Parts: sequence; structure tokens; C-alpha cells
Amino acid sequence: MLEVRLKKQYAGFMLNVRFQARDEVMALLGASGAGKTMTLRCIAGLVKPDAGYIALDGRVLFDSERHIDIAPQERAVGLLFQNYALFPNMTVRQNLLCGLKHVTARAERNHEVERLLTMFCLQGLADRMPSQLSGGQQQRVALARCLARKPKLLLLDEPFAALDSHLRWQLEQQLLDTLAAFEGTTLYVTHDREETRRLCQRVCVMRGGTSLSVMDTHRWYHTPDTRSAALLAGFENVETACWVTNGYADIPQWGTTWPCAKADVTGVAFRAENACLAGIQKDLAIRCRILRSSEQETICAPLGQMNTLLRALPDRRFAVGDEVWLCVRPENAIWLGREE
Amino acid sequence: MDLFPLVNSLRVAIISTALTFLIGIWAAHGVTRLPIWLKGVLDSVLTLPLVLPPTVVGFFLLKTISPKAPLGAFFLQAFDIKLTMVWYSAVFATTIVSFPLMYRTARGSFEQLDPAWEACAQTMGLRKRFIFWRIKLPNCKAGLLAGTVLAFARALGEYGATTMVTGYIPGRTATIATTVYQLWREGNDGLALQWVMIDLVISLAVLVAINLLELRGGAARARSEA
Repeated sequence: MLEVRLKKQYAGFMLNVRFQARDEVMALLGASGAGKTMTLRCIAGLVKPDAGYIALDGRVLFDSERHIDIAPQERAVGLLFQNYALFPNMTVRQNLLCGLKHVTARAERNHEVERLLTMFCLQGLADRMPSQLSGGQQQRVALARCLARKPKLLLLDEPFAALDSHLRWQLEQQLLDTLAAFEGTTLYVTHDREETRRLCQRVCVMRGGTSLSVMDTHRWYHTPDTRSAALLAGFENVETACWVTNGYADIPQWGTTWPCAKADVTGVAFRAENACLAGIQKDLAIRCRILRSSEQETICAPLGQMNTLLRALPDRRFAVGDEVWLCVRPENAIWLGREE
Repeated sequence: MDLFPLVNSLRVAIISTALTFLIGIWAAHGVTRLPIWLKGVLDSVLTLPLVLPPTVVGFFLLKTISPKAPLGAFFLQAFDIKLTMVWYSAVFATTIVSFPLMYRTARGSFEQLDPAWEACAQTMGLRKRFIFWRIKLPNCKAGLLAGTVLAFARALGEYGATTMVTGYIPGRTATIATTVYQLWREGNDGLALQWVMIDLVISLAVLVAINLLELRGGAARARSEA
């Protein structure tokens, strides 16, 4: 169980994060510059927050009010760096031994190294230098080194960012096995929604240094609650909306008013795959003109709104320039709330 | 031919290089960890001997360690030790003049280290001392060696500050540089030329050493980037 509340001001940027994580894999999801890495650095003790409270399994790691600030060496937090940060002057074995300094008996230490080498399929690579390893091998060494110290909390900073995409899937399967065997909380920093869906049980969405809601991955992906969450979940069509009268929300950019049950609505979102074109108005509809059409999607603009683009399924019955209705079934239009 | 100037030059250069090596690394490592404004101020001060004329360094030194100056007077009274006009006076001069070369090269190496290494080592529970000796130092070995060689070359060739604090006493404070000047003044061009040749050979050897180090450093970088 990890509890995090922290504030930090730096270089015109305000970090304001608040969440709790259970013994699970939780994604810290946000666009680049959302403060995800800085959050990890604060939790690991590498950066001191201005104010806040961090506790892991009931042990206070940081508390600005009680002036508690445990050194990173004592936090039992494993941090996997984006570039893996293997020490280039040491072999794989020596890198792993660095994580085993707490084991005093030499025989036990060597035994532990062998166990880690076996566990991460590194037996043949023990005496190689990091520069002689592939990206995937480097990641496995870094992960093994991270776990050597038996951390209670695992922080993974975009572990696949440095790898070619065709390597990722297989390494993900290995990572899933490792994470399943890990007893404790894992925070997984990423901006990739598919990775999040495959690896994480819950999601904490971040935007501009602020943590928004925490929810489970399925709910976030299908019914995001904020504009940021919807964009990160891959909703192609996201627009501002406001509630006008009983049961109706106005969407000025789309030139339409749709029935809506959410009184504190601030926006609306739907996926391109849920939007189809029709000659007549049905369901929730937007009157628009087709600007471009491809194998993958049709792009149109609401009439009189040339700067607002909408993305829908391709449809061969219509041509560029046609005026059509873009239709969305009510259950596929997601109403968004305020970002705290 | 009396080889004392060669011996004296070498011993002065070796001792002052050892000193700049230690102080330079210590200062460079300290400065990289300072807040940016303090870093700028300290960096300028520590680099000053590189841009000042050596005679200005010599002047400041004499105002500190000559028997009439506070520090020099203190050493003379308390320990009966003269700090000027003896062979080791040259060590003070060459250490100060060659220090910026070691300091700047070392600082450059420290700044090129990936900060993630230190951060990662900390989360792995490794102590500051271990991080410095086993991770930082080994990874800037090439830069530190290059700085050492540069500092040694500068110390060996130092003339201005050295001559001001040691004068020229044959067989006691003479270095190659001061000997060449003295021999030229006496019109003994033949002997001066012999010392010039000795100095040329040493300097060339040093430059070749630097180039070899840079080649090796470059090869290591290329390997780690590949």
C-alpha cells in the first residue's frame, strides 16, 4: 500500500500529486511533461518535495510536517530508469552485485546473483559489459538489479521507451511474469494506452503536473471521466460541452445540442470507430462536410466550423465535399466532467 | 653537462601534478554539485590562473610566501623554513599555474557522466563514497588522465611564476626553463640548444600521450554508443 500526497514547484511548473496504490500495478499515465518522472523521483527520494506525505506499507518515507525525509538508500524503493542506467564500467555480474551490498555473506551473495541470472535468462551474459548487450538484455539486467535489493515498491519509468517496437511484446510477457511474482506495489509510468491496458490494473491520469482521478483500467478505457483521460484513452473526437437546460448539453463547436443526463458536464467524447456516416439524421448526429477520406477513416468538419475536425469510419457511399450526418449511438458518447 | 635542471624540473612537475590531481578532482567534483550561481563564481576564480600572466601569479605568490609576507614570515619564525628561493618554491608556482587545466578537464568529465547512474546507485542503497570511487571515477578515467598529462606538461614548462619565486641558483633551483633563459643571456647558445632539444622531446612525448588517451577514450565512447 502506497500513499502519496506531494507538492513541488520547479521552473514554472507545479507538481501536485495525490493518490493511493494497493499491491497492484498502477499506471501513471500522462503526456510528456505531465510530471510522471518527477513524481517517481520524489517517491524514490531523489528529489525533495516542497510539501507532502509519502508512506509505504505504513512506513513514513517523507512527511514535511514532521520533517521526515528518509534517504533514498533507506527507502527500499526500486527505480527502473528509462535508459536503464547500468554502470558501464562493470560487468553484468558486478552490476547485480551492486544491488546485493546488503547481503554480508559472500557465498550467499554469489548464490543470489546466480539465482537472479537464471531468473532473468542472463546466465551466458554474466561477464559481458553493458555496452555488449542488446536493449532487451539491458532491460532484463536493470530489472534484475532493481529486484536484487528486494524492494517493497517498484517504480518503472517507461521501461519500453528505449526499445524497438517488435521487441516490446515479448519483453512485456517477461515483465508480466516478473510483476506477477512481485509482492508489493508497482508504479508504471507510461504514455502508451495499449501498454497500460496490457500491464496495469488501475490508472492514475496526470496532466500538467496534477494527478486527476484514479480508476480501474477497464473503466478508464471505456468511460473516461475527464478530457485528459479521454485523450489518453485514444478518443479521437473530444470537444467542450456545457449543460444548458434540463437534460440537454450544448456543443457549440459541433453546432449541435444532445440529450445529456450529467448536470456538471464539461465535455463530450466518442471514438472514430463508433461514428458512422449517414444521409439521414439518426441517434446523436452532427451535420458536417467530408474533407478527406482514406482506407482508415473519414475526416469531416461541422458545417461552418472549418477548424474543427471530426474523425469517423470510412464510408465508400460518400465522396469528398458531400454534406452528411455523422451519427453516434447515445451509449458511445461519453460525457466528461471537470478536471480537479 | 650538469643534469640537475632536468632532475629538478621533473621532481617539481611530478610533485605539483600529484597535488593538482588530488585538489583538481576534489574541486571539480565539489563544483559540479553546487547551485548554479555559486558554480559560476567559483569556476571563474579557479580558472583565473589559466588566463593571468604567470608573472601576476608569481607576484601574488611573493606577496604571500616571501619572508616579508605574512605566511612566509610565519613559516620562517615558527619552523625556520624558507618558502622562496628554494627548489620546492617552484612546486607552489607550478601547482597554481597548472591547476586550472586539471580542474577544467576533470569538471568536464564529471559533467558528462549520466546523472541517472548516481541516482540509480542511491536507490540501490549504495553509499556516496562507493558511488564516487567505484562508479564516477572509473567512468571519467580517460578525462582525468588527459587532465593529468596536460597539468604535467604545463608544470614542466612553467617559467614566469617559477622564476619569480625561485630565482636562478645553479644546482639548487634551476629548472630547464630557467636554465635555457640563463644560458641564452650568457650567450651560451650551444648548451641552451641542448636543453631546448631535451625539452622538445619531453613535450612531444606528452602530446603523443594525450593523443593516445583521446583515441582510446573515443574508441570506448564509440563502443558504448554502438
